[in-house]
Amino acid sequence: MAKVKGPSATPLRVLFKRSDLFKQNFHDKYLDFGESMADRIEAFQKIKSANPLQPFGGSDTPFVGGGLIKNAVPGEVMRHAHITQDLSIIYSLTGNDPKVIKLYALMDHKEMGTGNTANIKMQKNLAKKLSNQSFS
Amino acid sequence: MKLNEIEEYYKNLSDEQLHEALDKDNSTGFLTEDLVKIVRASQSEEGWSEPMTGEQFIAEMRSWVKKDGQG
Repeated sequence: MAKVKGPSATPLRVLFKRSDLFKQNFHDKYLDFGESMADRIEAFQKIKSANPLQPFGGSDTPFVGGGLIKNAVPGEVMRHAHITQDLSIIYSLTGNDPKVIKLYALMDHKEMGTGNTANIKMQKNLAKKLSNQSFS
Repeated sequence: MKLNEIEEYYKNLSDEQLHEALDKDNSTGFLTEDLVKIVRASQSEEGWSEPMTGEQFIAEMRSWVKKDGQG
């Protein structure tokens, strides 16, 4: 059980809430990833139960470039951590004692350079740069 | 705009409007349609489990596989 800093080192309760979306994602992704995915989620749970602030590997970060997500989900800092190379667990930390880890979803990373306006702009810029290059 | 007003604003958007709004600023690495689902999940207490310990959560998750006979 996690402990808060200080001389008393009071145990901090860590609880988990999962969304129906998370459950649905689990069912869908289990077909592809199988037991190894469940094992990785369990590893995530163990690390976060011991210390909810400890990152689950180097990829455990707040959403980058998701300005509107911050507005659309006020009062919560949405984070994601890689469960596999392509699959992330989307979660947030709320409350103090208990600290509640809200498990939102298990989601794939989209392929680079496809799917949204920012990336379409990126592709166009890249295409422009390439078209200006000369090859001998 | 106050926090609760912002919250209400996004709640009142249709899925299509929310998708459009999120897509304008989506460099998160995830599909915008997935972000819409996350925002919708955040807007309601329905569709969430009760808080549980880590061990309880893992037991529940493992039970999904057993119940469905997957794996």
